[in-house]
Amino acid sequence: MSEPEGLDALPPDVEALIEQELAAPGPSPDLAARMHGKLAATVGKGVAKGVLSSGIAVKAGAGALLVGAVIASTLMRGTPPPPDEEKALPAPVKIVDEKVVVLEPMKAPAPPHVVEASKMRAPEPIRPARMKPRKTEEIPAEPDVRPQPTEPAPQDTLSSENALLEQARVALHEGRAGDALKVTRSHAESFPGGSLVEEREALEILALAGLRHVEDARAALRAFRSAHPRSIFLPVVVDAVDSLDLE
Amino acid sequence: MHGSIVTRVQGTAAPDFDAVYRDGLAHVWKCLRRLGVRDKDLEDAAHDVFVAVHGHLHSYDVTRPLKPWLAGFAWRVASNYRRAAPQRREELVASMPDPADDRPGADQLASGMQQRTLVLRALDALDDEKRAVFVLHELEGMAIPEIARVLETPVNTLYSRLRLGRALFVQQVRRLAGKDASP
Repeated sequence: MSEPEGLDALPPDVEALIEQELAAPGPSPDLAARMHGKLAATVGKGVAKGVLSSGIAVKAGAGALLVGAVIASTLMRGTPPPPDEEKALPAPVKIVDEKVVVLEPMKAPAPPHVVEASKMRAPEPIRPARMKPRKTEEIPAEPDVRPQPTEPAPQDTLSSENALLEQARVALHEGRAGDALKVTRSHAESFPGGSLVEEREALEILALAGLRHVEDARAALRAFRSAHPRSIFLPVVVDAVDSLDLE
Repeated sequence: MHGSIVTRVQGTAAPDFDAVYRDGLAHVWKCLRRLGVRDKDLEDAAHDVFVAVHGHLHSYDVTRPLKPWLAGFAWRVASNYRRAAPQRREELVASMPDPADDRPGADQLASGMQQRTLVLRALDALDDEKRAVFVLHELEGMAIPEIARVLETPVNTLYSRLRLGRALFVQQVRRLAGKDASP
């Protein structure tokens, strides 16, 4: 490795140690194959593409908590695995000294995406329903027949968001930037405060860049940078807009 | 090896996931280890890395080298790992041998495994920021501007951390190897 300017080389004996570490073996072929199978179970079937379930993360303690937080990725949660797969699939939180620790969302260098901790749904303990003792002479109340709100479950919402953005992604990759833009706007209307806003905004910038809407792309990039200064999508969207400037 | 997890997306330049896994697993594995993930947790951490990689494969720029891209994922997973369990670090530091009492002998150090252990132990003396830049530069061979992109940190800050990290690393190696030349 060439030394950066202004830095002295490491002492030869330390360099030798580092050489030894560079020669360290990776996982055995058997382990690699087993891990591949586990990955296939996680990302390949029954789960929306890109679903993240943390391998480090663990199950809830003492049976009191149901946990379902997710480490971030471009595409979020999918449907839970069937029961026979659950043993093989690690849960997405970590237990440290019997406390549930929600891992910070994943963030990566070049393209990726993050779900901010604030957007993650923290696991909630299951509380026993409070039962008010009823007096025997009390007349039972009429059953409540009012229609109950039919809010979709958070996971359903996330899956819907994900499915919509997947359409935008595919459209972009197929060169249909206009379609991608329509989808992102549809997402914005349907999920104004959704969990995948950051991803949607990044896709929108890429779509605008694909359509050569230079000013709109620049404006969207400015807003994105301001809203998500540490987004892992930044390099990608910046590159896309920069490439417009070069044309 | 199991069947293909993901095939190349038709009409796109997205790489084949199996190929990325095959080419990148050893690199990710070692990277995680150097960034502080304990051996017993490596499998799970590598799993997390590749699940994330799978989710971001579409946005991988195939014109860029794969390893730095993967290293970024590994760094994030390792960072979460260390942050989620700070006590691991304390346990490890506490378990470091006192050179006066438990000095590795010359013949022990002759073994590659001992030397690699020494490197990892010395790395544990670095805080996360210095460790990241030291590992990514000295062991993963990434250029500082590339690391700046991954860590989203100014280049000058990274040079400064690298300089300090190197000094601490050397000092720690000397201490652990019982070769501290300082008076």
